[in-house]
Amino acid sequence: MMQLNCPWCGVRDEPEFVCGGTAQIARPGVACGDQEWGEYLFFRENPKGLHRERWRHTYGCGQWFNLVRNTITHEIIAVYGMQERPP
Amino acid sequence: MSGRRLPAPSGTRLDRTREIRFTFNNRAYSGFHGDTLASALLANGVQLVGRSVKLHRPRGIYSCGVEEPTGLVDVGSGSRRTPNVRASLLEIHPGLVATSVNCWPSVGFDVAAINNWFSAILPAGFYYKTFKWPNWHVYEPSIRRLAGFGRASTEPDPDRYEEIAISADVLVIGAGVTGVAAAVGAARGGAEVLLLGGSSHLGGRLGYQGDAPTAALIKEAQQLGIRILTRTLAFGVYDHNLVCARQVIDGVISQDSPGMLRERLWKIRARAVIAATGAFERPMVFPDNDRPGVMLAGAVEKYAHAYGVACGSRVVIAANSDQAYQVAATLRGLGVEVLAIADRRPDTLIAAEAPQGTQRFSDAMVSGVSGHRAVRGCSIATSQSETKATHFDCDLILSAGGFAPAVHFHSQAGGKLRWLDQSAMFVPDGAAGELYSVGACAGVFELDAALSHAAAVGTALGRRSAVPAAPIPVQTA
Repeated sequence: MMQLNCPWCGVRDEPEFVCGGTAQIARPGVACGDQEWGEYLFFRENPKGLHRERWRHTYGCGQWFNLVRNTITHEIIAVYGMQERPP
Repeated sequence: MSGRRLPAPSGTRLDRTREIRFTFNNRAYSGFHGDTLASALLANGVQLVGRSVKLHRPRGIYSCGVEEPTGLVDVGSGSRRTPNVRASLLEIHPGLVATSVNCWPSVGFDVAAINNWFSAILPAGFYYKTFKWPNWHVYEPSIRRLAGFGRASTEPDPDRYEEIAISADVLVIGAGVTGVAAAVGAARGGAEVLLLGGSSHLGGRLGYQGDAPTAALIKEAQQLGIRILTRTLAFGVYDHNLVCARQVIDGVISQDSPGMLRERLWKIRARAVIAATGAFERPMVFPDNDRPGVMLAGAVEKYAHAYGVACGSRVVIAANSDQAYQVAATLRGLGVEVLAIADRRPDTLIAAEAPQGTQRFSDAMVSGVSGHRAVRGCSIATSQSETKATHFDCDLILSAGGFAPAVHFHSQAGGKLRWLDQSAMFVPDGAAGELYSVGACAGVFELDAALSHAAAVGTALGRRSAVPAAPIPVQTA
């Protein structure tokens, strides 16, 4: 069980959070084709290593935030806000 | 029927003034306060305690700790029946009822032992659905009945179990002497320390041998305000240094009122973890080495020191390490006859001397074991004289195969291992995140080196400074 550092509440155990998948995916324009739109909706990277992802402190403050996690060691490299650029 | 109780001062964990009566396989036995079921049975001369899972071969107590593979029993009755408890971990209490698992009608006469006659056509990985003529479902009920070990209770459990989640600054797993040294070091370095010990006592091997410096170290740990949990066996380390441990509640074990607290699950989140889990003995391989009466050498030594039990009276040791000679000397000192040591190594590699009256065979191994439900004798063959083996009438065969560091926590935490050629073992390669191994589980078997390394690791973690590496050779061969 991991420990995540909520920017508002501090360090809490993983069951309080819900993972929202890959963070900050650029949405294609309205004029894009079906292929591109489908990839935007359904296709995700599954990296072995650093991964940017969204988390929500559902059973706490309810706020969303982003973090960078190493998917091998589960080391949390950085926690940053929804509107901030990844470090 | 060869085990017996040794006089004091052997049996440092026993309180011989408090006799405890218990039942095993519907027969009454007695032991002392402090005995485990395994030690009490061995002291009563009970060797046959169970049956193997498939061929129903007779099995006895093999070890003296968490590694026990064969001494499994069902404990309690009715709604409190607990299956497959390791006899080597279960402390006896008045009114304890234990039964052998995996045998019918009794462990001595087991109908399914007939399987052993067909062992040649029931190899490992045998596919039972081969029984398909005329229909698998004809055979299924009887084959299913043979599967599995103990029987669980079908009634609801009347007792209470609780769960505690806490955080710790420095957590030490293992309360052997290195674990205590690491805890003391960390406390001195300014950390808040939690120490987990699997058994009821601290100090491990040196503790039950009555070693004075160890007793002083334990006293210091208590004075420093280290939080100590005994009978608390850590069973896993998870992400971000979460350690889970199971505590068996002392004192209430013997009560019968429903709703009592039996066990507690600890979920401990630690800044840093020190693993001081020691090492497991490696078993020697020879024909019929699963007979009741074949045991680990270190376990037999522990039964003698801590529980005052001589597991046999005429001993042969199968060895490939110098540990055998030290165990032989200990057993001799306690009045147990050690007939022979069969050392796998050639003469030139053996540094230790066999004690007086013990025959030493070099470049030799146990080539056969006689006796079915208990060891009656064994033969030793040397590689020079394969044809004429020497026979010994013995009732106990010890296996002194050296040690393997208990690196499980290190590995579970994601740490890598490396091979040490000099000592022929895998040791942790550095730390696993914030989990540091000390003592025998880090491959450090020299007592002074282990103690000073453990204390240094503890102090460094307390002071949040750089943690020193284990004092073992860095170069792999």
